[in-house]
Amino acid sequence: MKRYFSNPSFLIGSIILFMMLALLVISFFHTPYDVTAMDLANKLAKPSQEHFLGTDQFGRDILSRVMKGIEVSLLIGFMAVSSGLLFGLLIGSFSGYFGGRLDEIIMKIIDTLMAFPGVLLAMMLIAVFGNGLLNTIIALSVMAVPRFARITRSGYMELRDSDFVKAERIRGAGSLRIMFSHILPNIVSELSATASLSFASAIMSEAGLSYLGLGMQPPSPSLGIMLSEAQDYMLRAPWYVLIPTITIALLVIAFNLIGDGLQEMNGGVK
Amino acid sequence: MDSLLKLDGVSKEYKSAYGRVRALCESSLEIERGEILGLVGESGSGKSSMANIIVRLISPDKGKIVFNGVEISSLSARAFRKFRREIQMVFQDPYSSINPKKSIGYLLKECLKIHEKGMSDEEMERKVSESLDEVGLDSSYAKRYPASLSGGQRQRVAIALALIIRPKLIVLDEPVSALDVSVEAQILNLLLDLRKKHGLTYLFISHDLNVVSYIADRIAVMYLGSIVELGKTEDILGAMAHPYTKALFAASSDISATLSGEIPSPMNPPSGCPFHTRCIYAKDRCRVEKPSLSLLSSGHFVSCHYPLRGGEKNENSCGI
Repeated sequence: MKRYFSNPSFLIGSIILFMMLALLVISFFHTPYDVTAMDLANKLAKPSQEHFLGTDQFGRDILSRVMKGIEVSLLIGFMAVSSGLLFGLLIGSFSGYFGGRLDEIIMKIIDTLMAFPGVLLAMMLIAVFGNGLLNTIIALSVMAVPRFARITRSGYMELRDSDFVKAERIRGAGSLRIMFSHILPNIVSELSATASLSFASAIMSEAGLSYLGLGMQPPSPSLGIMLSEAQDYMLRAPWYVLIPTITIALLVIAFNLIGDGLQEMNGGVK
Repeated sequence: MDSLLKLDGVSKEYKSAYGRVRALCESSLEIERGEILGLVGESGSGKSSMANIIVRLISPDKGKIVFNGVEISSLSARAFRKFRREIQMVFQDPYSSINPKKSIGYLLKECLKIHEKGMSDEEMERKVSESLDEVGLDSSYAKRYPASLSGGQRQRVAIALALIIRPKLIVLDEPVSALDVSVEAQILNLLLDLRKKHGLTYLFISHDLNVVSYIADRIAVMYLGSIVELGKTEDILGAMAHPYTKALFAASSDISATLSGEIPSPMNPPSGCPFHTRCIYAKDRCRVEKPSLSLLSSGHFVSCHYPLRGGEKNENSCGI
């Protein structure tokens, strides 16, 4: 554990993430104001003692909404990355371990998925299935699957002919045991780096989709929605647009730094 | 003689991007129960292919493998499963042959889980520490991970892993060549002790002739996918009949010093005797006709048209 925190990228990323998580945990128990409580007399107020980060065009407290917005971002990011990881891992491990025709077909499909710009793919899925929390998560996890599948596959291809896997075969271990009990622990570090980087892109894509009106819907306090609403008041209330922007940036930077740090420690060149 | 494993006319070719590579060419070999058979040869001679075929990591293109009276080469993967525990292998490099993410105890226990269904947890714990004890490690090693072990300790673990399910045959693929010389002797003696204790049979593959002469009861010499000489260790050391064996032993450490030329490409093996391109005694007949492994004296086989006698060339050995 000490080794991890001696890596500057990982350390800084973790500190930022820790602060974000602290805000998230506080928001479970207490937000300064109700996130949907309007106060039209007090709209677009400057940051003050009452409203620490000011209010929006309906007089809602921006700090409270950002706190809930972090929750939405992290929830969607977590769900999207974990389901993307699960499916990517399953696809990549079978494809990489067994190889052959199945592998060829699967990889062609994955390549096709990767050829689409991620957000475009998500937009198509949302256009077909409608928007909302669940569909946003599904769209984002479909975006994450190819990356995990590729990383997993290359790890399995590399290790399936290694001496310790051969030794396991000679000992009589079955394919599933070799795949998940022996090969998988050896690629966990690469997968965790990828997961962290995917987390960052999932948060960004969610904000992007919500900004375009395709992800979460108002009055949900998504950072993307806040951003799209705030842009009309950019000159009158610059803090309103800056705060969600900085929050998204910090979240993305935190996960990217952690991912980079993990990759550096795995000996990857990045 | 009671043979434990018999290879009969086993051939194996690999397809590569550049063509076919002939790894084994109609090789036949018998390993007797309880013996240590040393298999020597240069790299590329097919030793490792033979090992991999015996433990069924690869399947031969042609030929039969008979283990303990049962033909195992024609068995399905499922039917072969019960023979898995009878034939085990120790790899050359103990740094790559043990999963670095698993504790030694986990790996040993796993062998028991696979092969001794229904064994109780305490029984497994007991067996694990027993098998560590057998290879000269105490039971605290069960909790350790490969990264904290030295090369010699790792190879001891690899031997324990092969031994815990009580196989009859252990294929040792260059088990000491990755180790320090000081550790080498310890591991060799450990292997000898274990054979005596459990009545094991070893196929000991090596390119180090000193090691093989020390440990093996019989020696088989391989060249380009064929066995060129086979006999008791003292017979071979006393009277090498194949020119290749002689060159190999003369140059224990540096083969190229006494053999002219490179080992021919297994993609394009020479006609006739595979060794004729480098043999100083080669005659016209060697270039066209491939010699077969034939009996020279009791238990001593050689595949050469003009075998050496008493270390000297005998011009009349073939009645010409």
